[in-house]
Amino acid sequence: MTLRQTIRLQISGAALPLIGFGVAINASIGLITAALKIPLYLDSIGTVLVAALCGPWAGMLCGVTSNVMASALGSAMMIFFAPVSCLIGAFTALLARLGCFGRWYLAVPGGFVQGFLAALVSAPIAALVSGGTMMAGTDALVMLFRGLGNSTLRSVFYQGLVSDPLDKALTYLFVFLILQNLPERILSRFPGPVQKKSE
Amino acid sequence: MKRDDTIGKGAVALFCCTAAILLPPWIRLALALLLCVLPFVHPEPFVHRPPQKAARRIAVAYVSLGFALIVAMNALLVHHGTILFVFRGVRATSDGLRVGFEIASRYATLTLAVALFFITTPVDELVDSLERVRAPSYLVFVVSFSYFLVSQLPSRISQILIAQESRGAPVRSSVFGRSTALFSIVSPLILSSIVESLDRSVALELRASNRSTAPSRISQSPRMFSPPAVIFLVLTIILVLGSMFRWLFQ
Repeated sequence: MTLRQTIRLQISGAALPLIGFGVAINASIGLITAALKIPLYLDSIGTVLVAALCGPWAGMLCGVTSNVMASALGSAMMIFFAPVSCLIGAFTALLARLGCFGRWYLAVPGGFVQGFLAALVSAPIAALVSGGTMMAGTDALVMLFRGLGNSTLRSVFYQGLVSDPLDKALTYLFVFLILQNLPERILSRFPGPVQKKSE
Repeated sequence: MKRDDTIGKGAVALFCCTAAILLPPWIRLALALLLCVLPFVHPEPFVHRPPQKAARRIAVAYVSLGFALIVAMNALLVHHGTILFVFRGVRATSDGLRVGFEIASRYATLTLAVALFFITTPVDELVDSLERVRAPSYLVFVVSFSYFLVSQLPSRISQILIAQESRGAPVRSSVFGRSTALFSIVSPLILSSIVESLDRSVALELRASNRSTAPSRISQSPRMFSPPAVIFLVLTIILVLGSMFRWLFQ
């Protein structure tokens, strides 16, 4: 199967509306965490779900569109973090192919690794674009690390290490719980790695 | 540049973002100031309905606040260079101020360029221009469908919140209790999305969305790049090539 056919297969049928839903969930999940006053982002839960159900290309498209949509809805800086979302989509699909969403004790460490990678990729972008200042509560952590004598890049990376792995591990756990409770009939409608595992 | 010239506006934003990364801080700051006054000097491409005006004011205020915060943070946290002043044991240094200014000018230019593009380009115009540049149909569908859903999901989320609270979910208890309630709120949202996407995919297949149908009226129109779009795209390429050249032969 050529690359074009693979992309066409992953981004068609039930996957196409699900990508739209993934983008909307990423954009709106902040409403739930804000209403519950929980210090979590969970802003890549839609990307992780789409990548696990439909594959890497669908996951990457969902991630990039989420960032473009976030920029259009008021967080202009988010568009620069599109490579991070791309990485999340591709890496999640890889982990799903390896059977990461089959057991909770595989999903949670997978989320931690994903969080580490996301911090690694987002740190240079945040340092280059804004010197680590994201106009959010995490700026206090960046200031703390810089006050301890670290460079801007290291401080942003350490801040990412504090918040991202836990956030991504929870995201992976949520998606694992949802996928485990989905009936085979629904899973088989999607072209992604989780469905292939369950065949 | 015309009001609906999305590609032209995108080219201007791309040029500003490239300049913000490659050019010196003073030019970046001049570009940021230019982006602030551009809608007043050349109002044609920028929509002038009240929401856009308000959004532009908010963006400028937000970027000014970010600029001040970045300069202050770096002035206080970088301890090299001459000390400018000491206030209750906190020192501000000249090197910190310089580094802060460099980063803040880049931040202001990047943010203003992207914000100005999205504030003045409604998503339906963005979708039209994607069709015009012959973007794949699935990309156009995803952008327009997700924009439609973004306006729909908040009401669904509030309905789920109310329903789960009335069923006894601990949405107002301690942090641990609220965290356990999170799954009972997120899971109906995601499950309903999965089921609805299956229904919508059936509707799409019934309309033969997978077949190569005739292109829409917009995508049949000639692929037009306006002169400003071409100029700014060429300038961006020159900027990138010049920087690469300088880097190679320095």
